[in-house]
Amino acid sequence: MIPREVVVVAEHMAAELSDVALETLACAHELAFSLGWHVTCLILVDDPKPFQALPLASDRTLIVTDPALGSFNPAAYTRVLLHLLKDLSPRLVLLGNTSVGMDLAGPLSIGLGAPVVSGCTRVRAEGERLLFTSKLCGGKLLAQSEVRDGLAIALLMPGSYNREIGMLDRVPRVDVQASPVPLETLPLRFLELVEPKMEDVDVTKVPILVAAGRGIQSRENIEAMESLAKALGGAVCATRPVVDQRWLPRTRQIGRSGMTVKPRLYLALGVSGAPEHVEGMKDSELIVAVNTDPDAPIFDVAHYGATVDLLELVPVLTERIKALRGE
Amino acid sequence: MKIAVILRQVPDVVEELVIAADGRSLAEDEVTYITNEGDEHALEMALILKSRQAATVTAVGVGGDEARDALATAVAKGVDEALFVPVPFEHRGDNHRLAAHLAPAIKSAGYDLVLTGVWAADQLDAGLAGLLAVHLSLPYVGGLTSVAAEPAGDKATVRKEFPGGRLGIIEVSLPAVLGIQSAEQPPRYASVSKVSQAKRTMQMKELSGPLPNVEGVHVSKLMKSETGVKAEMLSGDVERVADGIVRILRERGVV
Amino acid sequence: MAAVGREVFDAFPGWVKVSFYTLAAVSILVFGVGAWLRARNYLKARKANRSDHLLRRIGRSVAKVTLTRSRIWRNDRFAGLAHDFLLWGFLVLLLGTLILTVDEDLYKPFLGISLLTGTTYLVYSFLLDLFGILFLLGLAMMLYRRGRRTAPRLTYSEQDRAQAIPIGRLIFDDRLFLFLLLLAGLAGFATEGIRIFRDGTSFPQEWSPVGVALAWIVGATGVGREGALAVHMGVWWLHAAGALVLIAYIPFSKAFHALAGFGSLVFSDDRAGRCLEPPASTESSGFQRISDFTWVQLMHLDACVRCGRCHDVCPAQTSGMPLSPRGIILQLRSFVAGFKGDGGTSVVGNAVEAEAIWSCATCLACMEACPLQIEHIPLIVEMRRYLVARGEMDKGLQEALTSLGRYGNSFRKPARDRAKWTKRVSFKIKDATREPVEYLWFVGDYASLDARCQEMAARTAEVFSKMALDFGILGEGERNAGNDVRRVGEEGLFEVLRDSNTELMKACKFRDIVTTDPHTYNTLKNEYPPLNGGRVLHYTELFEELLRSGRLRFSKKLPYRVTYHDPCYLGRYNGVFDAPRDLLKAMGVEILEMPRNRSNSFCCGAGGGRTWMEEGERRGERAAEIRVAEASRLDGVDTLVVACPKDYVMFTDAVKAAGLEGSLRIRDISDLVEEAL
Repeated sequence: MIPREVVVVAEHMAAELSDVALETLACAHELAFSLGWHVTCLILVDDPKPFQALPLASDRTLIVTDPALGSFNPAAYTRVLLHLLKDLSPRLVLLGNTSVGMDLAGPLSIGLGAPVVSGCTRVRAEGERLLFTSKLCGGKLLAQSEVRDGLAIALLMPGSYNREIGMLDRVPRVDVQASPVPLETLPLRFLELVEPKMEDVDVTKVPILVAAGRGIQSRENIEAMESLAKALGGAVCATRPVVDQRWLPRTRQIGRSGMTVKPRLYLALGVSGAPEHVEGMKDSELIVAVNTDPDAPIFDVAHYGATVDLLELVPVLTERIKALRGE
Repeated sequence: MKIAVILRQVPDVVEELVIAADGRSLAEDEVTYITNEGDEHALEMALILKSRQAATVTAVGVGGDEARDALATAVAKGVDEALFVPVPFEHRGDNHRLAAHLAPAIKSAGYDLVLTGVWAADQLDAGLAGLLAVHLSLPYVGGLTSVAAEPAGDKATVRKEFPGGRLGIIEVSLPAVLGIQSAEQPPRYASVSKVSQAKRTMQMKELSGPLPNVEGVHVSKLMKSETGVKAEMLSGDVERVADGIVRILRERGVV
Repeated sequence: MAAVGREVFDAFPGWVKVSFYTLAAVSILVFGVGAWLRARNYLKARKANRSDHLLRRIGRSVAKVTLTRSRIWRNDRFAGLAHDFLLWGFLVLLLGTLILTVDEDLYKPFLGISLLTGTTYLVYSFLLDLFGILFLLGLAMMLYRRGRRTAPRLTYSEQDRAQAIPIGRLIFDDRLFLFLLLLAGLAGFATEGIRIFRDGTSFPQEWSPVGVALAWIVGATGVGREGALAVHMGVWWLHAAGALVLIAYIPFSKAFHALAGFGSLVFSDDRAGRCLEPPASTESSGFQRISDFTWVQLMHLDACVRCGRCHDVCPAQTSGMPLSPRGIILQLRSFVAGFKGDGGTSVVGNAVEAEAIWSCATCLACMEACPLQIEHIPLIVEMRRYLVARGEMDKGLQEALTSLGRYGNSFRKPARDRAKWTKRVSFKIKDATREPVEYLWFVGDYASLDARCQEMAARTAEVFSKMALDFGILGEGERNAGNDVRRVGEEGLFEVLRDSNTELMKACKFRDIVTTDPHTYNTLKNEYPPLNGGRVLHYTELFEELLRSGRLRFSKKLPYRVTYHDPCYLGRYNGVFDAPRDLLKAMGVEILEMPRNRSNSFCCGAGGGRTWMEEGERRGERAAEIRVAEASRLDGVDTLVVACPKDYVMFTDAVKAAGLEGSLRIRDISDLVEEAL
């Protein structure tokens, strides 16, 4: 069998590969290993140095450089990728289902004439067929799709694979080349990357998090969450809808466009468990979820769960914890 | 400035989702449709732009009959034109097909900005926004939380979300397609009487014609996510659950 | 003096009479112009449909003003008494002056004789003196209260100031009005005294005790009869001036309330507030033009005397929110006064702040307290309609309305979840949409979907079953009844909900409707079309009926000492006070009343959509916390009994917030009924 090519388009930020890039490599490696396929890790960047010595789980690391590729400019990336991928002729292109991957999926799909499967949590091969499992509709549905032959593009959900397996114990063959296409006149110009204003709490460093989801129903109830978090010695964080309502600042947002956390305890209250949120907290050591909807997807990822009313539970729980701590 | 907003109708995930008999799609008569949340934000973004500078906003409702209601709501909120694009049930989630179908009409109208949600709850293939941009040969960037258009109308400055709460500030040459993540303020409310009035008085155009035959992703099976498989559920009333949680926390040495 | 009578202008020079009548004419002219300027607005305003049975209305109002007067007396006997003195005193004195005028200008010239002679005159003058004293006494009481600031509501608070009400002007008017009355009254007595002195009469020709006494005092000063003439004239002019200025001033002062207020009573509607009127046109204008008001509403604005009773009883005001019912009326009035041409600016945001409008819990305490039956709530709802049409509301309310529009409940739960609470019940509850039932139980949002209330709903179902009631529920098709949706200003959504529920219920066969939620009760009873000819009952009314007929029997006596909180929408709105109390008494429970009970009950603060809104700026305790504190102050009472799920939720939270857990328990009546069965 001719060894097929799997190309992983690796995301990076601030001179580091993103976690999702490593997870995607882990996925590619797992797939390729069993089939004897070849994995290329593709990094588009301005300065190759931070990436040249990485022990990635690919067979080859191809670093394409150009000043315009320093920050993620979708127009630049698309132009380069279309050219490169036509040359590489892979069977599978893997991207993260992220703000980066989603910008590239459409143009790549039409440009390369290949179907795209987004929201993937698993990629397998059965003979010549590639099988994808994806999550839809807030995590309530699973879809299985297949691409029989030809190029397939897949967007992998962060947290679906173990990123530790994205790195091995040796550095693969590394090729560095300049961009094969000119990147001067682009319709998009990346001006600046703004770091979030860090107020007093950095949720990524707090070992105990009390997460407020839409189920807390109103801003007044945040106070009760704060009391509970305080009693536990932790902090309050939130899902996107809560932050969009301005009940908590954006720096407390956990999930795809917010923070990724791995606390000792993640107490999810009124959180439905949509994939975009789960991405950001599924690695927590202990996840306890409370939601009146027994079908909520959060229970797929939680270790313990309950369907009581969180508004009733929180004060009682706060009392118990306080009593325990002898207050 | 001419702005188009695409409002796709997607299944409401709050309601129960029922799989059809063929095991590969949702049961048509059990689905309740609502406007995709990202598209609601895109509409809000368009209306905010309209309030800041002279602009006309056209709302494009894509889906079944619910799209007409969505268009009435959009008119009640202040859009200037409404275009209804009926799509048969089986293709409503197929963005490749939709993009190819919508492109000619949007191209001929000559919009400066095409806004729509960056993703939808029911999407399996690529986002509609990106695909549409390719068909229209327009620049595209998505995941945006703010759009500021220059008065001259040839450029816009947008903020794109990255993980970790970071924001990228990007300058886009117009015309362009933008994928909205969330608007600068939550989508406004349109009162029921205003919507009814809009339904009566609005002039709605319709895009007729069959969808182009574009191959998408082949879904072999659709099923409900396994629920409650992993979590050990604590039963009883609030007191018992609280006790249970405290016990677990103590066991794990968290408290 | 041989004849017993009195000369009006007697020894005064002729020019006095001429100038008096001239000034009187001027005064009446000014009065007329002033009244016309005010009434002109009424002509531009909308129709109101309240002119039916005019004679009966007038008769009832006269009775209210003269005989009943209950609202002025309520909780304020001092004011009740003082106002009675003033009212009767003024009316009698006015009547006296009218009789005198008729006698002087009609009777005497045309018939040659006087009415006021002999015994008639004696009785007349005695009565005038008596009521004159009462009049002055009432005035003194009022002045004392204002001077000593013993009634805070009279001293316009900070909030009134903050809302740019021209307080300085109002205080001036308050004082001027009292001053003119005082002037007229005192000068009147003084005139009488000097006249009697100059006439040299005393008992038994004069039956005016005060007059005689004053005459004696004048005599004691040693002034002669001729000297007294000048003083007499002077004092007489004071009296005349006081009276004439008062007459001229009436249309420009709070004295106008005597007319507008009476009008307000005549054209009042007992269903005001209970049944709101739909908007006049599809687009709510926020009161931009005179024609946006009905003439009755304009009259309400004119009728306000700034007594502040509404201000005192308002729960929003008491809990520090920026709403004063009186303030709203005054701001609207000054806004109307400032209307130029055809308007164009809305009162909302210009005279009345949106925050004030949203603070209202629609508890109706203001309207219940107002002695002139001014209707604050419809005005507030109309302004809310304007804000809703523009989408200007807080995000909590917006979420609730979106959820109500989409799912028929404010909890963002799908309709199919609505009947899930029935799983907690030990038997299968009948589906009223499929089989006929005697009682259709309209369960409501809170009982169906709020976890704390679902438990109560389940237990109520068990109680119904133990009483062998034939009842059923609407199930998944039931939607929020719409009471608070309407009062939040989303009239369109209210109509959708009402029509949907009505449609559903029309297809059912039942005798009466039973509800466990007073909000639902109010709108089903007052704002829905007649449903199958049945009654709408609150479950306490039903239980009381069954108790009297013997179908409900309690097996135990409960030895509790409790207090009962009258829910706004059950008690004040719909007059159901006794049924719950009779029930409690039948259970052997001892009831201690809180200071604010029955129609004076103090709202928990959740009505009017406030439970959906995010909490805004507030200084002071929440209304619910104030109420539970009031309950806990009762001696030996450890339970606060409620009959509304919102009260239950609000008070349970308030007890925790106020640190009263353990000392005050909140229980629903159904809970006690279950225990006693």
